[in-house]
Amino acid sequence: MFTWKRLTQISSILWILLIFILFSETFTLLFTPSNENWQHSVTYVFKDVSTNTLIIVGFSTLIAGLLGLLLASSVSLFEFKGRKLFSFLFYLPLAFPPYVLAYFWMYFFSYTGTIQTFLRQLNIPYSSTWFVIDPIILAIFVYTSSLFPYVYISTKALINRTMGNYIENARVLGYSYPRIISRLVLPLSLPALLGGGLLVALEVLSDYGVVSYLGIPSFSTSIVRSWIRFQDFDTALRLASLLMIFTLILIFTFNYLSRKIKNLVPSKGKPLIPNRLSKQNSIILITVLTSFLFITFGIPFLQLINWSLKSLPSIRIQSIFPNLLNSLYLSIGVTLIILVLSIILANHKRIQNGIISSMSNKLVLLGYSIPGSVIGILCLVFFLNLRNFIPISLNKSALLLVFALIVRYVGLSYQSMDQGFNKIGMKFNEASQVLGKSYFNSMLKIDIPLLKPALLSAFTMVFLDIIKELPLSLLLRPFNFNTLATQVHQYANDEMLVESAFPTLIILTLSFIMITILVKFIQKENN
Amino acid sequence: MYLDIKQLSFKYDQVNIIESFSMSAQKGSITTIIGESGSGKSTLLRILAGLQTSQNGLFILDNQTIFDDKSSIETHKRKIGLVFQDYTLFPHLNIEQNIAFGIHSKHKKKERIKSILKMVELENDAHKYPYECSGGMQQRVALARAIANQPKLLLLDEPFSNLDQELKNRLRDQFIAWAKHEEITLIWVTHDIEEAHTISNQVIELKNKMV
Amino acid sequence: MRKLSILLILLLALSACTSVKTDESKEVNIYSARNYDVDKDLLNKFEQETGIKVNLFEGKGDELIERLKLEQSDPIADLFMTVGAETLYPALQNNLLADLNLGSVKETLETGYYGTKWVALTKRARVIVYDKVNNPNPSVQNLSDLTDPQYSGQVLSRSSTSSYNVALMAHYLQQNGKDATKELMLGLVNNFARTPTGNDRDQAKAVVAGLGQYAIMNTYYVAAMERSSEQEEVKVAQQIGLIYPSETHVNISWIGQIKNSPNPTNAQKLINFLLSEASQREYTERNGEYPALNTIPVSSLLLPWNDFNKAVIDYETLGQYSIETVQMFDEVGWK
Repeated sequence: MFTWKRLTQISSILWILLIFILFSETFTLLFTPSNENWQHSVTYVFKDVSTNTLIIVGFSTLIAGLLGLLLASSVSLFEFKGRKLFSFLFYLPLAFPPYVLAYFWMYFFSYTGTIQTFLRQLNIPYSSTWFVIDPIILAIFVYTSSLFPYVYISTKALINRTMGNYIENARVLGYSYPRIISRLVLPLSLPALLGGGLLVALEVLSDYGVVSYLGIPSFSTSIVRSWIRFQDFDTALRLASLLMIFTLILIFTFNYLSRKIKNLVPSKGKPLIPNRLSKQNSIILITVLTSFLFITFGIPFLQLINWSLKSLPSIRIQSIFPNLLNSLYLSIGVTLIILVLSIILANHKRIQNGIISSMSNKLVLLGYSIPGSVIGILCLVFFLNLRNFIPISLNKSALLLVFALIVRYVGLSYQSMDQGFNKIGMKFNEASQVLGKSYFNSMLKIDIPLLKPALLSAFTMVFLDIIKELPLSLLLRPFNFNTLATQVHQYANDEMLVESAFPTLIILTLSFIMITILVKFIQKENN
Repeated sequence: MYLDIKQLSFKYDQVNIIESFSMSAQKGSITTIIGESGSGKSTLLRILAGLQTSQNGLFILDNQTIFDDKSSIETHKRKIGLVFQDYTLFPHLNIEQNIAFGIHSKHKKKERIKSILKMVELENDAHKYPYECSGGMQQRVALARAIANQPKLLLLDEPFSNLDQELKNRLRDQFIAWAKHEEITLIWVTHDIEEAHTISNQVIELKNKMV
Repeated sequence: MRKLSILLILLLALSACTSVKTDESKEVNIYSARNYDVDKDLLNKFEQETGIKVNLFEGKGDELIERLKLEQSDPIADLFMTVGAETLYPALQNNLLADLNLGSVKETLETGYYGTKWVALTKRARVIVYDKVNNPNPSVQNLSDLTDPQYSGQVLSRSSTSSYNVALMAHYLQQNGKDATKELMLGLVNNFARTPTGNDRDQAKAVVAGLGQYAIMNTYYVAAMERSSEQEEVKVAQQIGLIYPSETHVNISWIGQIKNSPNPTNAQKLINFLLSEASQREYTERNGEYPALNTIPVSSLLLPWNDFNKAVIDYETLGQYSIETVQMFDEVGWK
């Protein structure tokens, strides 16, 4: 019998099957004998690659986690002038594509960059060796400064929602704030730290732009390199499967830890009232926060504005508007499709919470952690084979790109929708059913409106990722199709950093608008 | 009989929650079901409403087979209402919208809502949202919403357990009067034995996993 | 009713994704690794002059080759143009290219820079740069000179992942064999001032910054720096001097026509257009490259084409050595 329930079930299973087919080829490769290139990779490349990847992912996640915690605590526990503004500003670094920051900082410290030029202009003697930066440290810095908001957002929400009582009690008992943060806030924030931290880790693992620009051998660069340089699809897929396995282990570990601590952590408490700081302490805190923002965000942003103005006469202005439209078309249109799909998947899990749905949970997240280039290759091969059966045009329509973007980012949205559904449970839907509305109707009239926060946050996160997205857009786009991100890449890749600033600025502006909408909505909800 | 339940059984994880439950009732009657916690009262109501499925049993209401061993009618088509223990008012809708949610026909909808609001004494609070209402108010809204839906059978899961005694008695009597007025058959779950015997035509006791 | 309308919408959406048959005579499809603004402008000009719509798909050279291989049974692209000769070998090996019909344009081209199935649009030399101010009398002439122990910590180069470096060393391998090439690589690596980092322009800047005395660099980037929007980069370009080795490595940016492509006539027209004097002038003036037509003058920072000695490179087989070159990079630790 045709019901919407049946339709959602079939859709979810089809989707999961699709993902499985897409990725299974890579896994099966691991069990077949390897070729000479693989041996070469293992001997010369593997150790470096794994070490680099582990160091970068590990440190970025840890530092981003620490930063997120401290910043969330600062704006939640204390009342000071500008608190609301800072609270908002800490969302913004998410708008920066990490590869842009990599280009920028390399430039900043380079010979013709801001600092050395400044010193030369003032005739201050210096040695260029002072400004040589280790690429791994720079990579960690770049990832941390653009991804810490993930931890910041989830931790801030948790602190405000659940820790009011505990913090007040601790204050009464005479605990100092540093102790409160380390002994109380930190352990109680673990669910948020783990959730946000996982997002950071997955983004770093799957990034290609930063590590390739900085010349760091890592998993994502090796995969592309094997495919391209060795024309060795086999090795590339092998490396990809290892990456996937590592990612699955990471996801399982985080989930396991989350479940363990779930019972130790309160789910609801008194809302937190921030404590007014003395004038002196206010000034100190404001200075620290401002400096932090200035370094991670202010400097690159100001430089981008400067460059944009300088480059207006020399860039190809007539490309900007069509690229802007394409960027919006992808980041709004595809995001909407992803939202619908993730609602279907999360809803399926809600109705039938079995092994299949919990496996699918992990599978969708897989797409999010694999480098875009790998997903791109897999989708391309898949579609080229499909072309033999169905007359699809790969070059005249964006179907391939849209499909790959969905595979890559549905996990991100799914996480949010899953959490949302968990929060509201089935009871409202059931109440609506006994009042005569069908399940599907109840979803539309009751569940979806109640899921608005989860929907908006899912939309924002996917929007921000797609508007910055590069590897899939480069690999799978149809003819005559550029986005703002590919335009940035074109200039930056050809070492024309100044020219890349204007399209970057537009990306940032669109992201800022989206973030502002999200923050305003959250504030409204809290009131 | 207007309502007939025969040999209803429900198992969860190999444990018999409900074993061979049977009852019947006349139209417009009030049946109370009592029993200790864990005896399966809430589960029974959920099965009758269609939110859960029993392993076997027969349920006939107003000459229509709601479910038997082979098939069952979907929840929203059963015309059976259920008032949950925690009211489950829709947080994003105000009182008036919550009540209106149960009314399907557009015919004289506005008048109906008005008269119901009057019945539950909430005309002046129609625009308030659930979080702005006291427990008693929320309770009234939940009941009003269920009645507005004009179900054939209304199931109530400990509807007044969260209220203090005086409010409880007042509301209960009011409610029974409304239900009689709308000719709704009631099945009422409670752990208050005295209340059960006071209000209902028949009292059924659900012993732990057995009737 | 509702279900029917949704099904209809789905079908419509699917049909939007299927191929649209357009008139063959009005289009030409290019897979390009050139990715420059000047190319976009030239292609636009071609569209305006001929009325033929140009469909452009950009990517990296080797990725595009992979794509072309995958699509071979039913090609979509008419033309393939890229910035390195290394891709010529796999293109030929996989039988991707059609015979070119260059016509009279052939007479304006230099031998060695075109074949039956390809033609160089522009050329770039890979030279050694030094700081004219702090090192006015450079003592090196060739790459091999840089392996001398006296230059320890003085040599700058970008990463081995750069296709330009791969082509450079593949050429050396082609010419001198494995042992000599490995020796050269090792010698250079031992003299590196730092682990390779940054791009070509960064190497020039590093030279001027005093981090090393000599850097390996592409001529077209030198010309690009001279035109930079950034004053500091212009200064660097003016401060560096170029050493053209006695057998200078010249890489080519080439174009080829795809076998069995949908619009062969239009493809031919486009190639001729790009080899015309007007187009070649654009490449030189706006992009700092050496043109295919030697009569067109180049940037003043570069030696004129006829003033230096170019190595004879068999471009068609150069790519054969790519894989081995990359493996050797790994073996000697040229990161």
